Amino acid sequence: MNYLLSQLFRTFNWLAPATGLHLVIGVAGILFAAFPVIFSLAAYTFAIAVRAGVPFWPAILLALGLALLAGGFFALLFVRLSADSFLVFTFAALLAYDALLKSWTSVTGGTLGIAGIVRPEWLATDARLALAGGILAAVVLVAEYLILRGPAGRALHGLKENPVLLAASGVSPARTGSVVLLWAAFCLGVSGIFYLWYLQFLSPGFSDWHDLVVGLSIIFLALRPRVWAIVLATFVVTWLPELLRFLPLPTAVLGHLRVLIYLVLLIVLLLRHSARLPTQRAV
Amino acid sequence: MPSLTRKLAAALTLGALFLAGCGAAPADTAEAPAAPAVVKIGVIAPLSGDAAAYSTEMQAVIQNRLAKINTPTAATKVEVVYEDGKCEGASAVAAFHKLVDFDGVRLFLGGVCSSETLAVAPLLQQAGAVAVSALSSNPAIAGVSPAQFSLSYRDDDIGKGLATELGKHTKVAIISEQIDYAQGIHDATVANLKKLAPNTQIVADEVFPTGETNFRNLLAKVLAAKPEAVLFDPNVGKNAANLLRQAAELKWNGIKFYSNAAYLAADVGLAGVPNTFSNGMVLIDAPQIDTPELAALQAEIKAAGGSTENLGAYYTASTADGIDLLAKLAIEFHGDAAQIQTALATSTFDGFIGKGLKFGGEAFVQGVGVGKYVLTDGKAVYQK
Amino acid sequence: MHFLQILLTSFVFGTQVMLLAVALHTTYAVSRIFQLAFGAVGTALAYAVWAGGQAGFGWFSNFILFLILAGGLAAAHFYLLEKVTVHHHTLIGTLLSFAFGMGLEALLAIIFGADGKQLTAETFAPWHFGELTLPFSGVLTLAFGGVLATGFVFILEYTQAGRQLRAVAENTALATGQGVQARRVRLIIFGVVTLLAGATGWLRAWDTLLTPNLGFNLITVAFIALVVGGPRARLSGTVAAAYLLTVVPDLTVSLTSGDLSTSWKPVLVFGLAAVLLLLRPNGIFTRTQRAV
Repeated sequence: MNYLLSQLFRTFNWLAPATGLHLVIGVAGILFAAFPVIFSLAAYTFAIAVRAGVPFWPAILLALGLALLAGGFFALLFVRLSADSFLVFTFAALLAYDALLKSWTSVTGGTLGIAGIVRPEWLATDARLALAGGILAAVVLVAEYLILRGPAGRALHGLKENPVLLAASGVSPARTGSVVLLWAAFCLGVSGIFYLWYLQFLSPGFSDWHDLVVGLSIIFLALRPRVWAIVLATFVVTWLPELLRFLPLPTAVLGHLRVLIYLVLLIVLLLRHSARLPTQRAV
Repeated sequence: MPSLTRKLAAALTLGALFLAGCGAAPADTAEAPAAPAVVKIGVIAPLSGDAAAYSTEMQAVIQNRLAKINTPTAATKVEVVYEDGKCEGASAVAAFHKLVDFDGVRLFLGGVCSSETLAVAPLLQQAGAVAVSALSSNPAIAGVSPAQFSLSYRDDDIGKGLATELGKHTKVAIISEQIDYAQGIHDATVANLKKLAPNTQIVADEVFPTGETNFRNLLAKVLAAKPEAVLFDPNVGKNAANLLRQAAELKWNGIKFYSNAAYLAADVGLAGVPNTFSNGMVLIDAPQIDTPELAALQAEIKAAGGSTENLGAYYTASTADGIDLLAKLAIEFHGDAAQIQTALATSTFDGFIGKGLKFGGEAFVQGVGVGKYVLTDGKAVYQK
Repeated sequence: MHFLQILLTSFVFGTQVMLLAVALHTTYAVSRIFQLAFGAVGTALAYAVWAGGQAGFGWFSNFILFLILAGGLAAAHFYLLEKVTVHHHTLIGTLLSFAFGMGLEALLAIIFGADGKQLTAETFAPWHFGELTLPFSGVLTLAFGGVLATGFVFILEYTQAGRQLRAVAENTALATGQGVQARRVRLIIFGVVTLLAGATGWLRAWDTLLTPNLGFNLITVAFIALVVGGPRARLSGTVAAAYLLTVVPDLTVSLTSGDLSTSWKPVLVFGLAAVLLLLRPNGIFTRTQRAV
């Protein structure tokens, strides 16, 4: 039962960043590759703050504040750079952040990481953790539903479809993109802290390329700007690797095979997504 | 709508499959009233990635020992379940949760990498589990959990040995790989150098990321700092030989070389490193074990198509001892992790590592010490 | 002299990155997609050469094996991306290529294992230029790089094939209207660029060590160099950016003492790219157009 609960928690915890990224990548069309950075940054900030003696709630605020600051930084770049440059910048940020975590050993512990992180009392059991994850997911999903149904959702659609027309209708594409990036950063920050409490350990591998692939898989499987789509996509993508545990695969290739399966899934989803997009004149 | 039905059907199928598997999981009980038919031991090891070579060889050792343990007449069989720790903490923790919660494992051989062990150790007591690592050597493991033991030597003993050697020089340089093993050796060496040889100056302290294969600028920078001695501190594997091969392209003019276990395993000369360059390099690692029992074990594994080249003698012995010890105690105490933990902390045992070994209430096995080797014609020769 | 040694070695790495950046630039020109899989494609072809050597093939047989596999990979890569190229789904295409590349790397790790391989057992003595040292593989890289880069520029500027390529890059619809078969041009480009990626992978593997993620380290910097240089600008911008993003961080790390070691290089590459992108968002040699 504990395994089921801990898996449920992992799925609920993915729902928070998935909804934020769904709005950024799926609805607004902003290809943002640095979301593992914000997820990890919030976790590291909290862990380092607590280790330095900062009380619990100020440490949470500090972690979320830094996540929002990082989101703001990326938002600023989104406004200034072209889509291609923004993609490259966020991609490079992922590489640089990983190098920073591993090299700044005095603060982050380097490759040895930070161990023995204590969960708050009210999350002591897996059941409570799963419940908390579920509440977080529910709150974020309600927020996504309201956003999609309202003028903000229409603005995000407009940003993807035709930013010039969006600007002409009086809505700033820059502000729209910035706000959705900040919202995604907040979601990533919260779920990063929760995931830290689940693992009770922090290292550079806490969030990396694998999460980039998983996140993109969820977004492209979701396809539609609907809440149920993102919920279903998150469940499918996070539970899929668990099925592999039942297959009698050689242990030496298991790790690489999981990566390969995720990537094949991503390729299939992307091709499917492309087939459903409106086609331009084909030459 | 049809696509929605398909998606829902897929999700439900996945859920049903999973729940079916979950329903088949063993009962989550800590004690069994009678000797269980099967005792499970979980192995958390890097099954993928650069450190996977260790795991492959460990599996060969474990398979060999299991064949001896699981005789046809044995009342209790020992089953080993593997999970991928990927040589990093977060994956090791996920592997641990899966083994504890789904497979009902309470006894662990692992982690392998120190980062895996450091991540899992704090979780052992709350899960009612106990772990013995065969390879983790970082001294930070001591004191993290009374339920975590290690049969490895300690990095700080290696660091002390290296510092003793490096302290003979006034200017030294260190080149380390950015991985937990090398980072542990590096930190232990620097700390001991400050204590044992305060007049020795570290003129260059370079770190390269795991996966980096071009070291020429790094080596040129180290050479430009004019050290009298250089400590090469990479992880074990082909890239260690690559580092040395690129170093051999430069003119080091009488600079003395030192290293860790990285050059113990294979014939360095075969990797394209000229003997004129590597001859005389001092290696500090675990003491050599050349007992007939270990030789026989290694021969059996080789005959079965396996290898212990990367593990080396000591870690082959520690892996064999780890699985033997856990299996023996698991059978004796019917899988009771608390009793096994007490037995590990207080008993003495004989194994491939040596006779009369004990943990003595500590995390690391006592009295292992270190060994000194010198590279001669591409091969590491033990110095008594 | 130390400075010159660092510069020389950095130029070798810079040339390897430049070759992949040229590959990315050329395929971007005809498809508007960042073909991130070329790093892994180059690695796969290097593994083919290694496997052929292990199987006892002579250099000619190995070369034929290389060509056959290059053709297969080029075709697979091309057909995977052709539809999204034609329909101008450029970001999807970039992600597809990324996933294809990472999948190829995972496959190589499964087949050949994660531990490194030496491409050739033969050792060649390093070349000495006074007090400077360069391994033979480095000399070959610089020579090869120079020849290939010159060859590319010559083909692009002075040949019929180059004019067709530039026409397709500029305006595919118009070029097609003039009788240029855009699809055939793209297929040929993929084939040629795959060979270039393979040659780069082989050079890199010979210079260092053959590992499944050999191409990843190159393609990431090449990708950043392409965008910093200006993907829609001239090739010279990409070439300059490739060298800037390799030589400057290398020099910074190698010539400073203290705690700045090789592990900090990605941070420096990121910092430099960020500065260049903010100052010149359209490319380092691109002038700002009239703002309306």
